[in-house]
Amino acid sequence: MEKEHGSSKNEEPFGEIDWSAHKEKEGNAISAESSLPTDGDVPVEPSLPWLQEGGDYDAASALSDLLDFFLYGRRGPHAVPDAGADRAIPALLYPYRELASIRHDYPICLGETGTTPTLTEIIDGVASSVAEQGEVGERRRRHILQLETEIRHLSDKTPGGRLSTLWNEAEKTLLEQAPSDDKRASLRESIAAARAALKIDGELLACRPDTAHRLYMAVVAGAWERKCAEWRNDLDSLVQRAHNILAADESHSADANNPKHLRESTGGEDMDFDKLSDILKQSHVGEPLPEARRERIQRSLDTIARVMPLFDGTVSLLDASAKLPFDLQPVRNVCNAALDRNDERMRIMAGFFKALRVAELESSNRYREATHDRFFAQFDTTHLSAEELSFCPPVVVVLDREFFAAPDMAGLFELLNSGIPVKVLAELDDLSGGDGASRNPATTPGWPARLAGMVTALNHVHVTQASASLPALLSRGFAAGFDYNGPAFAIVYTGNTETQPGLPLYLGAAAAIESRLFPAFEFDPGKGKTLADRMSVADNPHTDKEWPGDTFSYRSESGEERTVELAFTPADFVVADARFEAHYWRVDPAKWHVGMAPLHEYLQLAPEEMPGRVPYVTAVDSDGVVARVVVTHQVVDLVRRVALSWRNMQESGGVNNSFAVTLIAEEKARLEEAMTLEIEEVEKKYSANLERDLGDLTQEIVQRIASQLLSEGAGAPAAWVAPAAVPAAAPATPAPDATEAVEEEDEEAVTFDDPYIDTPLCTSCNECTKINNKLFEYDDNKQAFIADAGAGTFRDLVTSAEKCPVKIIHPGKPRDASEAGLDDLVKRAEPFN
Amino acid sequence: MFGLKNECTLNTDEEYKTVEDYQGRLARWCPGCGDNGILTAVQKLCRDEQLPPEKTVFVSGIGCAARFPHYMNTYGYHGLHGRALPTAMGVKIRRPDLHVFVNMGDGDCCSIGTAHWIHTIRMNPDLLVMLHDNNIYGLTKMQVSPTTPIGHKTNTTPHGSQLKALNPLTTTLGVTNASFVAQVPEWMPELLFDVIEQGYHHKGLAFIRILQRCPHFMPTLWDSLLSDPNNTVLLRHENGMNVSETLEKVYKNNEIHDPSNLHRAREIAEWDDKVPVGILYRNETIPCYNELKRPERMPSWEQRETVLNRAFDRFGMDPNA
Repeated sequence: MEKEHGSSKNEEPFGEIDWSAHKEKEGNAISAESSLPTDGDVPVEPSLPWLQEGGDYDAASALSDLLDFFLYGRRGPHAVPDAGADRAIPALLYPYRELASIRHDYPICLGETGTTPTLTEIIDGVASSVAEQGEVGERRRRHILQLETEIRHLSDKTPGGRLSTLWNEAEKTLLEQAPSDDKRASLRESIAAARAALKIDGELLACRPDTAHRLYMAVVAGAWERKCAEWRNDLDSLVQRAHNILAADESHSADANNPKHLRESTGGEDMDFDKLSDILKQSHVGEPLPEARRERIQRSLDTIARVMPLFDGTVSLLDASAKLPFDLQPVRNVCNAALDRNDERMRIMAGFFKALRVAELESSNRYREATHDRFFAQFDTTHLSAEELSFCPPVVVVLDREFFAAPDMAGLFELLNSGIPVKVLAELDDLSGGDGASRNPATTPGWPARLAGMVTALNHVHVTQASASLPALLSRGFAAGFDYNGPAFAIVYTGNTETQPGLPLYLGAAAAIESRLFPAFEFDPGKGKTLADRMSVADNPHTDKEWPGDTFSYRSESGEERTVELAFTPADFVVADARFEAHYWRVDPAKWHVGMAPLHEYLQLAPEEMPGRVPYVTAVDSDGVVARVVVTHQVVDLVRRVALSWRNMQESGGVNNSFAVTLIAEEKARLEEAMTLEIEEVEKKYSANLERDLGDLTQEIVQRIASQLLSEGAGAPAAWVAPAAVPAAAPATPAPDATEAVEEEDEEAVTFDDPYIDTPLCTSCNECTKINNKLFEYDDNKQAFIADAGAGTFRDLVTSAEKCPVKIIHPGKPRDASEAGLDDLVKRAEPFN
Repeated sequence: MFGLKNECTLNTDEEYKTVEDYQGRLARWCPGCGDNGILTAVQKLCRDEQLPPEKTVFVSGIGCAARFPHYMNTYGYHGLHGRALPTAMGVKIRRPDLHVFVNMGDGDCCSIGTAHWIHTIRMNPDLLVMLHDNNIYGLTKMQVSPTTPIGHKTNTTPHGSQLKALNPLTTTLGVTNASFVAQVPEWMPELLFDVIEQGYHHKGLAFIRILQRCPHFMPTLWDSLLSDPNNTVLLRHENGMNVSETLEKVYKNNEIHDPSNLHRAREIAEWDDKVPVGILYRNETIPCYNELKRPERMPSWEQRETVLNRAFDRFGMDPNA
């Protein structure tokens, strides 16, 4: 940084602005205030040599540089490069950059039962069951939370790690780090108790590019498993009954009666099986099963058995398995293939349900060949009942980067419009309309970010739009889409560390939601007929506002705490994207100009106020210094466009719906008008009454005074008598003699040349530190001592001694003989030495 | 934002906390105000005991002293005038794991809050109660308080207060079940800290009357004590306040007083001419109301949420209505 500032000094006539000196001074200022962090925990404002109109540095030319960039994208010669590790990140994102230390919704545990609790939920559950109130419980809770932090760090580093494995590793690390044997023992005890209460295990899923995909698969497989579990018993019993028919027939057959079979069946040797066989052959137990029936049952059972793994829990939905006659794996990027696969799958499923129905009829002996043969001969998918259809595993289509590079939109819409319950998951890792190199790149949000809106227009597709930062919405939306009896489309912005290199993936994904570039919503046509039933935008932050915002805290150069309200807009998102470097410029603080305006404020300006103003995004650079990043007008256009889209989404989500607002305003105006009339009426009535009463009263008073005057004669009316001045009571003065006596005694005692304080007697009243906080400081017990006798004047010492309520400051002798008014001060100091 | 709360950063290291860690907002009492010294003593207590800030609550009513919770980096409840004690007792009953402190001024405690004062003493919950007694209403700019000395002029008694001041010590000692009663001035930091510390360790309600200067409205109130050490009587006993040798040399007026002697404590509290400093009475055997009323089972989080929501709904307003 120093280097850039140095070069700017050479090329611009910055005269007296010596940046390195400023920097030096700032560093000193910070270290002198020991409470200020120097590690950049709280961002610091750079020193500000504000450019003044007509000053030595030409403010007009600085503004013209800024405008040149804003309007034409031409960068001044002193731009601070903003790339690589030195990249500035938007100010609102700054506090969250150390993501692993913050409790958040990742990692998620993919439990065996299809549940997807977050690590935080699991840990909270464990803690609430083993950490009672009180000291022991509190210690346990702390230990368990330490473990959570450690597991979170580990899961970031270990893709695919299971909770139990990471738990063990984290436990090992913590035990190794324990400072003493006592602490180690209590830590071990806490973790063992927590472990005993841990009821779940599974892979821990951190926020990665494939997280949405993994979560989708887990949620869908879990939903399917739960659905099948309810039906499994009925299905098993049906198969068993059908089997029993065949088994009974088998046991009556000649084969079953032969001695060998009988021996094998009973497993004994004490019997004469030949004889038994002869006896059995003579007995008559009914006709054997007609061949056609036996064959029909057998065929049905065979068909059922082929598909059975799908329902008996041996095959998870979406797994590759050779046990099934069709491929369960999701189709990638090819929508037409999904249609074909669906046809094939439905054909097989129709066969399966046909076999089930036959088995059902057979097992209750209701199959009538005359009617049923014909019915089942033509049985196909159109004969399936709604319940049967719901047990046909839907085809899942996954669209990823490859699809968005060469999109088959016709195929996609044909697929979704066909009405078959296909489930589509689109993983999006780029929200921009271009790659930064094309002609007008930043001004267009990419169409994939609007794809969900287009699909919603089909009106019968369940749509979920969210980013990976909203796992709860993802799980909910995925499950609802899967359960919905029709096509479902889920689109997820996964975040992208290639385009936003400075941000953790989670934050990039969250920023997409927060900036309204990719607002979260759920459209569920199964919930009702109106938009109010179907559409929900509630998962967005501050749904009622144009932009979400927060307070950004930083410190001024002098260490003062400051805050400013900032909004998070698409410009913040773009500024974090390395590809759009041409559209933002981190301005050297030496060139900050009063014409710069925060973007969200700039957007509120009236058109006539805009010329001469340059919008910027507040950011924080890698040194923890507040930065201003000016953006081009294309970025501003993008922000405006996104604001309009968001407005549209608010309306469809029922937030400040303009139709409703207009109606309410009209109704309110009508009511107010009616009320005003009513009030006027009442006022008129009462003011008439009032005037009449006042008139009566005045008349009465005048009459009474007149009659009194007449009756009392011409005596002077009683005048107000001024109250006698009360002599001020003598203030209860404390015995001044006593004080003086004590002081005189002190005077005779030993005097010291150096000032000192009887620190243990200090009552921390702030009097002296308020006079000079370099001369007087508080110690660890918050009691005052002389920190630096040279940091203040003798006058400071004497004044403090006089002010000190417990008289414990002893000013000593003056250090500087040239101090003004010293004679007087020495005299004043005497009582305190 | 971003689905995150940066204040949720997990910082579970068991760190040693300094006095500064207990400092909340910058104290805005007048320079020279005795409240500053009380604040420091309490912060030192928190540090020495290493009280977890999240397990510590300061409850106050209204007045200068009631600003106390703002200046502690712990939980706090700046409540209604005179109602600090019932609030604190509620906290203690439902959350016996918390360390609960109460800060009241003389107006707050001895005037509008008198009924609560009397009954809370009798209930003897496990609280540390500090009465910041500067004998005046300071926050509202000098009106008479129950402890204002007779003859003192205030805005509401321009001809001087006509009643003899209420004595908080005799009042407290007169209430059934009083279990810890002490008096200490804030300008003797060593004793202030010692008494507060002993009060903190007392099981039951520790009532400490702290004589406090108000440099603005009562600048000369304690002059007799500040100028002549002989007007202060240190109550000393092996079960009482600890006094350092340095103080011993200055404050020569001592009385050996056994804090278990309630009768003598009441006599001492009656003194008009001298000011006793120390622990007047202490009895650890009196049962605490918060233990008698301790819930058998803590409510579940769901139950708490339901109850809270019900309470909030009573006052909730639809912002769009």
